[in-house]
Amino acid sequence: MTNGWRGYTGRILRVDLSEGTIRTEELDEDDAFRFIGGSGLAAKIIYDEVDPSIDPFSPENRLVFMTGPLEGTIVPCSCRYVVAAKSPLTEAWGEAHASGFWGPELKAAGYDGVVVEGKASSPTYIKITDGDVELLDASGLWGLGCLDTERALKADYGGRFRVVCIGPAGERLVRYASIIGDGGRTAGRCGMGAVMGSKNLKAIIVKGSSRVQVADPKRLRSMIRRLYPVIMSFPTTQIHSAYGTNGEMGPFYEYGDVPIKHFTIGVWEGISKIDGDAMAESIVKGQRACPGCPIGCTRYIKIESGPYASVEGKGPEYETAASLGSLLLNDDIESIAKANELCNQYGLDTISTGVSIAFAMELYERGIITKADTGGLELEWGEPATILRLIEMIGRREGFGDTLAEGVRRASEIIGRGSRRYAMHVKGLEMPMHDPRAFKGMGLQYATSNRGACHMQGFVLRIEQGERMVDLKIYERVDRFETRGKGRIVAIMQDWHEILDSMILCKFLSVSPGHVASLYTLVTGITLRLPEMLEAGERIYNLKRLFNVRCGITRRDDALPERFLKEPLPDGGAEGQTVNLEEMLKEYYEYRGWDENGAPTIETLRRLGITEKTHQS
Amino acid sequence: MVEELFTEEEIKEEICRVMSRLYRRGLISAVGGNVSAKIPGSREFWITPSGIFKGELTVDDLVKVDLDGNVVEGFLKPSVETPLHRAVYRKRLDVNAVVHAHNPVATGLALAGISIEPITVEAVVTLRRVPIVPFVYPGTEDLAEAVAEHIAGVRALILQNHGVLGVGFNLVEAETVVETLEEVATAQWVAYHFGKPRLIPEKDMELVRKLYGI
Repeated sequence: MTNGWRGYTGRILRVDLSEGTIRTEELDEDDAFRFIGGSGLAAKIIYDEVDPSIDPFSPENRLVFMTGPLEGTIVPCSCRYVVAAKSPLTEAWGEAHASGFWGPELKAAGYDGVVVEGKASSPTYIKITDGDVELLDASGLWGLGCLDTERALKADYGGRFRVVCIGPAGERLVRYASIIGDGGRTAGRCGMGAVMGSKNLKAIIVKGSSRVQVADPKRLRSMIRRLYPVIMSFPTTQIHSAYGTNGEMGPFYEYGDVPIKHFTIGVWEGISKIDGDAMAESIVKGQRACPGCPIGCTRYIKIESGPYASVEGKGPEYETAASLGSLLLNDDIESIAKANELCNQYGLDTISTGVSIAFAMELYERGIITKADTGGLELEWGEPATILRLIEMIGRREGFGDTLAEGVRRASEIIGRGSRRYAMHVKGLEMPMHDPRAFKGMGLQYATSNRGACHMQGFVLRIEQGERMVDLKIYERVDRFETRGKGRIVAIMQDWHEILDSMILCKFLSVSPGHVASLYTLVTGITLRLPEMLEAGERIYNLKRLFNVRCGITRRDDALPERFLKEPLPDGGAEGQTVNLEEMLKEYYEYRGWDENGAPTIETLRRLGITEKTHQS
Repeated sequence: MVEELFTEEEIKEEICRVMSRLYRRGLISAVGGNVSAKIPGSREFWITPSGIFKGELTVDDLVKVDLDGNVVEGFLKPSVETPLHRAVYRKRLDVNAVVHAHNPVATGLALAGISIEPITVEAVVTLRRVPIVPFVYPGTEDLAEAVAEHIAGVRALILQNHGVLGVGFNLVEAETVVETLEEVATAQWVAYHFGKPRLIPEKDMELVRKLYGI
């Protein structure tokens, strides 16, 4: 890396699997500044190159892996990558994020990102060793689980190679298949693993030996050293360190935020058997951290006896403990750990998997489906054997699992019989594990997020819990049940999270926006001030929205499942609450400068320097 | 190929600087208080020596100890509280620096049975919940065990009849915690002298209150 770039490597790897060609492309300086990196640069590439009318499984779809400009430096919690494509779940913008060693290794190999297009004629994997890139036969790996695939590749090439791969679910185009690496670190959402599978791409393995060049290493080191007292003061930091993300299940439950029995009830005594304390006292054996992370939220688990005695490795996060636990009335933490491991082997998003199973269980309870539909399987709530069996059926697209593998939106269309009412998704992406009746701003965030029901793009509930963001001019103590004012706050937080997802920085660390701009300047040598950085966030958000508009997304799709709008929670911390979405949506569109159909106006696009494209398919 | 955040030489120099600052602030005394730090992921740490004047330490005075208690490098005797430091590092993967100081006001309030309360934003944001560890004789494995029992999920402890403990990912953070503890304790002391402190309204500290049980 001896070019003039600092922070960035300045190079993007292009792989065409149909043609079997490999080339390197220079990063455009203007794009880097205007779209930062990570999710922003991925959005620029997909907006420019992907015809919005294509089938997400067609060879024309792009699968874009991007790192951030801070990655590979001493900036804490910057070791992440984003993978983006047109999503097979939402048929619109799709992205997923994961942390671990793969992202920094890609930069050490000399690339900011990898853009994959086309479709290989047979199972293939990409091997990157510094500037040397090979397309290799993956026939021997096809059919292996993700964790086994990683083990096999490391056995062949040595532990220094970092792996991201798909499992059987991605190979079989399960629409919520994930991409997994580093022993269970998951780019889970939006079916990026299925897009990878549609290209016959099993894995990308990488090893690099370069160091990322930093514009002002001395000042960067000095600044970071002195930032730790503040960044470690993020409210959740010590809880995540002590108990992992599931350490928040207890407080979330108090709010009525944890979904129970498919978002139908607010009180369940099983919570205390699956929360962070319960995990710590039973299956947790240690703590793990991503490279350079001062928190270490990963739980290392091992089950030593009983029916799940073989389970060992990365333990369930909060989202998984809820989606495969409380959502299904499953209070057996060991079976949740087993289900998590199964999802990691098959390469399945645990959120979408849990919601799909809950959808089926509710339909079964209501008599909308019967054993005739499920292949003789009884779908009783809270039954671990049933949950584990369904995960396998989904991962293999076997029997009724083939229907659930389509995601709840499509599954409800296949099943019919009024099942649509119970399909919990936004734009086709299954609901995450935060009930928007407990935090109304989350409802607006879910409805408007570019990738569908997304809890990470804004995480507005932090503001509704009382966090202030002075750099973003969010000074007020917000009532979580209030709807007024949420339009502005949600939009600001979504734009800020575009910056976090483009730099790319973990959201469990408290680096204030002003400090992020300073870190970017010290790393890249490109002066970035807070206002223009926040404008870049807004630009990226609007560019993704514009892609969605061209995919056919309108105001009608900025919706929530009827349950949240019309069915008050009967008990718990959000008892009696429903979401008044329309009022918030109106305010949100006005603040964003979008028209009544939810499209950015010409004036908004001009202000952000985005030119409307006249792409003809 | 991620660059290391700290080097051993930087850590040793920082330990001496922190000791000097704490001494000048009156948070450690001539022979009371000790500091240690390590490289993230390392099973060895550098610690201040025992029984010599703490206001003028140099890097050559420091002792390197492993997590089993063996001296790896250095010629002076390691701090008598080495077991306590080892216990913290064993319990907390996220901690790379431990500051044990003798904050007079924080220690005094605890002796009077008064806990640290949410009286300022710093008390809430930086300190959160500060447990008081009942008296155990200094320098013993029993004290190390008592600290290990209380250290999960917190940044500071008060050791009754003894002093305080601040931990952090690096030394600057651990030092900040100990200094903030004394600042808050002093304000609280003044408030109690003239009456009773008014606390930050619960709704304004809801997130931290729910997470840390304060």
